[in-house]
Amino acid sequence: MGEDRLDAVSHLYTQIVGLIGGDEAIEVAEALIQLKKANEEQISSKTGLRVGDVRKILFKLYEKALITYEELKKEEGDRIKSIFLWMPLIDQVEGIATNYRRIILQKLREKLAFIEGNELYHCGKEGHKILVFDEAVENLFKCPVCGDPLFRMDKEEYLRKLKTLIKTIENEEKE
Amino acid sequence: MVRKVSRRYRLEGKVLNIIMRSKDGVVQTDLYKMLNISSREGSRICLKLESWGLIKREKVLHKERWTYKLYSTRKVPKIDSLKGSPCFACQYFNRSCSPGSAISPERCELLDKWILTIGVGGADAEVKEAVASREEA
Repeated sequence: MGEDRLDAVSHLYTQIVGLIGGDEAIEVAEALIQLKKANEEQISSKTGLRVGDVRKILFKLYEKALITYEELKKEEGDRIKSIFLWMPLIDQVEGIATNYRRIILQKLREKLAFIEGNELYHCGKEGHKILVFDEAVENLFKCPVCGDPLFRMDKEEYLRKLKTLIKTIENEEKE
Repeated sequence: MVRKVSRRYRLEGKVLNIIMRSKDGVVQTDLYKMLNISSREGSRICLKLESWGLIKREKVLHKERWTYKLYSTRKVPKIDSLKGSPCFACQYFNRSCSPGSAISPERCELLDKWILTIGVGGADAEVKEAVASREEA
């Protein structure tokens, strides 16, 4: 039972790390879990990634409170060299996951309220800005990016997908 | 303002932490030794945690004495439904992304992309690409 729980927590940890930093971040996190405490060079040799890339990933994960570090000061002649030993913060991951889910759900609900409460206009081209009625009037119903005419967006499909997504996240939260 | 935390409150946290970290449960009598607390205090804490639904107790015979084995009941949260969400890698998440501001969930194109492509097997790669290009910009 306990073992399952630890496995599940480790899985959740790598899952979050992957969502934040991609596949390379997963490699770094897995190396950290195995080594427990390691510096950039040790992680680099374990994963085969460049030290610079490892450092970039470590900073990203540190920013999200998924890892922490211990600073060791070493005297080298008349200079003092700092060595950073990085450690995974697996204990924190459950709180981090719950927090992300709560905030993302809140953002999706805000989006739903916005979509439901506004008439939206779009030129139909992917990546071009979606405008609300007032903005469309200001732009004389022309796309500010390409200049093509703006059409009223059919919100049905979008709303259906958004509501399904919110429901799925809410159900997962209740599990 | 500094909040004062009672000794009992701290102990409850420690007990819960030990139980949650254990691989296959903790024997209640071992817990007393680990934390150097009396059996009276330890059993009261365990009962309290059980009444809150945070732990589960199972009666076991340990070293020829009846005691309880303590397990955590807290489930590990699942985030499968959030796969592909651009918010995890977004630099504005928890910073300037809020309703009505320049970066807002209402007008977020990355969120649009995620929502619109989630039904057709998720938009993991596409969204990642879009987040990366926004970071570069």
